[in-house]
Amino acid sequence: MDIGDRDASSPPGRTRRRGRPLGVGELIAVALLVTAAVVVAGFASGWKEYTWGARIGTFGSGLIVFGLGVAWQHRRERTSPSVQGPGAGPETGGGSFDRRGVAIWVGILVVAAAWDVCGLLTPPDKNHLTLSALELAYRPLHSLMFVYWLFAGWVLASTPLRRRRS
Amino acid sequence: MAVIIGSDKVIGLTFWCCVLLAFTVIEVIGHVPASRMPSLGALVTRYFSHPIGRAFALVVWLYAGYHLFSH
Repeated sequence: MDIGDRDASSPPGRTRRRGRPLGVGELIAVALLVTAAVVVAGFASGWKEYTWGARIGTFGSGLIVFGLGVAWQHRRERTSPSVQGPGAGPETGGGSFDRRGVAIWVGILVVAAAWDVCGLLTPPDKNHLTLSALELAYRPLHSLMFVYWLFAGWVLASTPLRRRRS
Repeated sequence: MAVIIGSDKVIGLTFWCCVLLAFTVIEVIGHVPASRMPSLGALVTRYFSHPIGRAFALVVWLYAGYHLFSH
């Protein structure tokens, strides 16, 4: 049984599994969530470090995003049973996972990590300040990083786990 | 750690903004139907779909949040 849709632009023999398109209600929910995340990130930039307010705000926001992501995943699975299965999901590439794309992701991570390590191993230098030091100094960067962090939590929570074949 | 805000931090700030921009661009490309670039969700599905791997990723995510935003 073909559980995915063949992408018209894909080469023959390659399929890209997709979930069902988002409904209007779901699009509105996503827009509201993104707006809320941006607003919270704005507040987060004003939290003083080493305070309980910052800890509670950070982990509270993360917990809320995580819970919403899990609920979203369960809702999508209930309403789109055709995409259940190992590795299935709206964004999986199926059998044609592009390793060059993975290499690009890993490459950017490695470069960023190397730069941050330079900030850790060298005396405080204006060019190699660590990410945490810079985002403490520039609050807009702090807000931007907070939004990215919430997005990463959403992805981790809303992506289905592998299921065993019965 | 005392941090002096000034224009001499521009290089470091520019670097991190470029990194964030690069992640944003490849994530957007990953959602284009004709693209073969994997999105973050596809990577998580591929490499962190096992419960133990997912739990590890969540721990790393939580520590990143603690280190960057509350520490």
